[in-house]
Amino acid sequence: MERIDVLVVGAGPAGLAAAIAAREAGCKSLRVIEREERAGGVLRQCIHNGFGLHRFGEELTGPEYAARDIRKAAELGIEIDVSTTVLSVSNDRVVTVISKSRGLETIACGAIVLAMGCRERPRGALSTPGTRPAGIYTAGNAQKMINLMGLMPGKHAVILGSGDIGLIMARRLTLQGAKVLACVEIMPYSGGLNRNIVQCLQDFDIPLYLSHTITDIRGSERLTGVTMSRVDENRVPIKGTETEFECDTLLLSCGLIPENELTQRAGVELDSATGGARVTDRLETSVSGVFACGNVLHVHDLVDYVSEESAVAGRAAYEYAQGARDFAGRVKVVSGNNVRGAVPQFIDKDSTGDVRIMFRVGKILKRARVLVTEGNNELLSVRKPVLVPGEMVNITLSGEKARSAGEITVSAFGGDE
Amino acid sequence: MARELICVCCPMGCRISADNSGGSWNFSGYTCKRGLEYASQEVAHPSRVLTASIPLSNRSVPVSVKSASPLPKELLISAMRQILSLKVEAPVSIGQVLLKDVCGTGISLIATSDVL
Amino acid sequence: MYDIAVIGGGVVGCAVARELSRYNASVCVIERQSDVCMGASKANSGIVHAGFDAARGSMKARYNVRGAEMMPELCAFLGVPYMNNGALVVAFSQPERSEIERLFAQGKENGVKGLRIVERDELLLLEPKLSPDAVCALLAETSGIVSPYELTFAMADDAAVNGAQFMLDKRVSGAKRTDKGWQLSVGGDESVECRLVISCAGVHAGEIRELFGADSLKIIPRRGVYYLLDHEEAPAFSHTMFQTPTPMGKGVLVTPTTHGNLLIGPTAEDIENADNTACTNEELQKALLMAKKTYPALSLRTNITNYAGVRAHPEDDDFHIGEISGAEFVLEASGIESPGLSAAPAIGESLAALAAEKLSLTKKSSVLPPVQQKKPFREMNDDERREACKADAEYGAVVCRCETITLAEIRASLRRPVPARTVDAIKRRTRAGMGRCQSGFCLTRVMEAIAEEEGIPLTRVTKQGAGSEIAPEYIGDVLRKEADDGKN
Repeated sequence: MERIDVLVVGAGPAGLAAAIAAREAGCKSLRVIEREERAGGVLRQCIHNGFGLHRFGEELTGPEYAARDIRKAAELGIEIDVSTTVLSVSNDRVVTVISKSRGLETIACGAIVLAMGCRERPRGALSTPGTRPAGIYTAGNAQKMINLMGLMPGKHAVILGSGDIGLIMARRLTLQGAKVLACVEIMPYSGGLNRNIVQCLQDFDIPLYLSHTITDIRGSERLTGVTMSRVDENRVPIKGTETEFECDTLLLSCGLIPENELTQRAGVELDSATGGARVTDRLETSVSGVFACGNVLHVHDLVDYVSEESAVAGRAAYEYAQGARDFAGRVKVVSGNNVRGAVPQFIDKDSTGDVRIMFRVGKILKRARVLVTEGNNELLSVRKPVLVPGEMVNITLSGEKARSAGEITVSAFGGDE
Repeated sequence: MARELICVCCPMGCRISADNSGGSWNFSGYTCKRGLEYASQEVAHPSRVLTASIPLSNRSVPVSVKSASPLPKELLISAMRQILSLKVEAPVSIGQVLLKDVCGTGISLIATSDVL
Repeated sequence: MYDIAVIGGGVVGCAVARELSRYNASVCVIERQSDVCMGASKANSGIVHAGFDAARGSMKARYNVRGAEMMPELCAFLGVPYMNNGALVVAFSQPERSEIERLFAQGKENGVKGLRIVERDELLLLEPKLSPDAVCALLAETSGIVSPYELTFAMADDAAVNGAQFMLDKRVSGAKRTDKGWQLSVGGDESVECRLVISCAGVHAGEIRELFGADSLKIIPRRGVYYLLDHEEAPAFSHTMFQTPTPMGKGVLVTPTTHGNLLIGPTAEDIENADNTACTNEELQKALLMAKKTYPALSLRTNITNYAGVRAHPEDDDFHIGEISGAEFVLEASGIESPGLSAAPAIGESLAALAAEKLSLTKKSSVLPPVQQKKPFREMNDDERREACKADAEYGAVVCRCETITLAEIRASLRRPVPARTVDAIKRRTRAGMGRCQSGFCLTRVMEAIAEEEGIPLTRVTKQGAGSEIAPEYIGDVLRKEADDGKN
């Protein structure tokens, strides 16, 4: 069996950043496993711009952002095993991979970084009534068809869900010559960024229907139309509010799910709020020596933060592979009032540096305040003009304060609370 | 003329009212300086970076492209027509200029991915 | 000129064709859709019923009992997933107990073995997730589950290997009596001539009868919706869980599938259009509510997909198997609703024998063995996987992540005797796209495999036949079309 120090699963932005950080920290024995034919992950198909402002100080397109990391990895001599699938990860860090070129391999790893990303919520998860014709795709699949395969999925489209990928695809379809009839969102607010509402919908006069959903899908071979209904405050469709659209394409942009099947089978504990592993500030999961970062850990808005987070994981993985350390105890991070899925869930007492805590809020909070407390003791208070569920919030807590606590709680309040 | 804008500078998404009935633009509803700057720019010269996928004449896969700088918003659709009708051949590499002047703006179109 | 034309490539048509392929006769199967197994055969519960719920003396009882008897051996022979998991018909109140006792007695009269009534304590030990409201249940040990589409494909392949011709995308639209037999119009100028016809037309059996000038048969399309839950829910129940039939219907069942999913459904709703397989919100809600009676802790968190099947409910509530009166040399298997899947092998056996008698056919002296389906990659251990990759490197290319399906297996499905030609056809033969992401990852790869194998552009790859192209145009075509329109 081959033995290596660090194995990274996935060569998207998370995996690349983790691998680069591990190599820069001195890791020589390193493998990156990627199931696609090329590295870059979902960025390859995100041809719109807006990536990298935070990290590079300029707005790049997805492929350009990925290319920078791929070039850097190549310069550092990092080998990426493309067209290779990880079949299993064991809790004692043996990884089984398979590829056409090398067949089945088992690899004993000093440490493992899980960076598999996320997948889109499919129609089945929504139980949308109607028929099952061709023409119903997740927004990301349509994006792949257009931007990587050069195929137009259809000419008249309705988009269900106003997540950023759905909005981006509304613009993409329009620019590429299709007609987007509507973007339909079940919540009373959009899940996407304001910038995308303006530049992807308003720029092209595409109506956004909030508190609406699709209640029927028609067509036997190809989609011929959908019915949209208004929903009440419990998200139940209201009879008599139906509007029909004639369309040949329905794109679903209804949320992303961290891709954690491998993680689960490795025995890693998951957090029901994030759908990802429960990790320490080193990004180490409940299985010793197994780290997680990027969208497989929690779904991010900005790739810049994915890269930053993953570099931490890559360095920590190499540190782990070099030799076991004594367990010095952990501070538990609790998601409090209005806060969902705070990551990391634990802070290692023996790690160093300030701690970035990321989370989402459960509802729109104006003139908001984020509080980190230990019991009645306030460790940090940050004011934010507004917090919305669609955007990840991040705060930085002084490492010293964080590690001297026993358990800390992150909460958020609106101005009226 | 009066217009409603949504500020895109931050998650606040302030609704900014713009009115030029007095001869010059007057703004209200913004809550910070960035918002005012955004609104002024948006009513005077709204512009966007155009990105697209375009076919290659000798490959089945497309190449992704962008305008080197923002194009006037009203030109986006006609610019798409122009660039979709380009005859581009692989290999193409990132940063390669595929068209020097998009729709008479003097702005070039460049490849954002490599196709070998 | 064929000796026999079978109309309809569902599970019954394929069972008939397979049995006919054992005779010295030329056989064709005419199917209106792009693949075999496109009607009720693909959207049913996959249950091999023990045979207790059909009325004594009915055709349903007779064919069910015989078919269920044949099924284990047939599945083993063809390499089709079959499990003898047993069934429980649960009473949730004392008044329902008498119905359980009636079913028990009826089952015995029908000749069903392995029946007994289990009381609450034992029942809850057998199925701990069952509602504590359960009173007692009829246990049918011989009940089983089968993959209905894999059974159909395997029988079709076996028939094809032994000489049966499959004509897909051909709808029988007319029939003319000739001096030799029948001439069937199958669209355009095309026709098929044969000596004898066997109609296995599912929900369209009545219309087919009319084509032959026979009395129509009233078939009521009865639609039912299903939920298919992911693997993590499969261990919830080991038996197929029925509810006690009431005058309002049979209730919905909760059952594991042979592939380790949990299946819930179907509802029963009589509809006008036999081809309308839409799920309605009302029926989806109804199925959920009814299933919770059996499985109160049911959560849809792991729901993979919903679908609806349309059963061919005969007005007189029984199968019609045999010669159609008023149409010479035309046989039928009509009104084949539940337990039609269980009965299919027996129907095939019986109709083939009847056809042989009418045409004086002799049995072939030898039959070619069935195409051995290779062990699925997902069921192999590491050593087997290593060997598989050595023999065929494409086992190393995982196409469908959720179900772990490799390119080698996709390729094989495109080369079966009755080959897959569409995305859905591959899905049903290999399970690529059947998992939790519902082809989010593998769709484009499966499209590429089809395009390569068939030598067609990606724009012509379909989901389920002509008109269902996944992505009908290239990005460059959009403006070209506009320009052409401008010129005209």
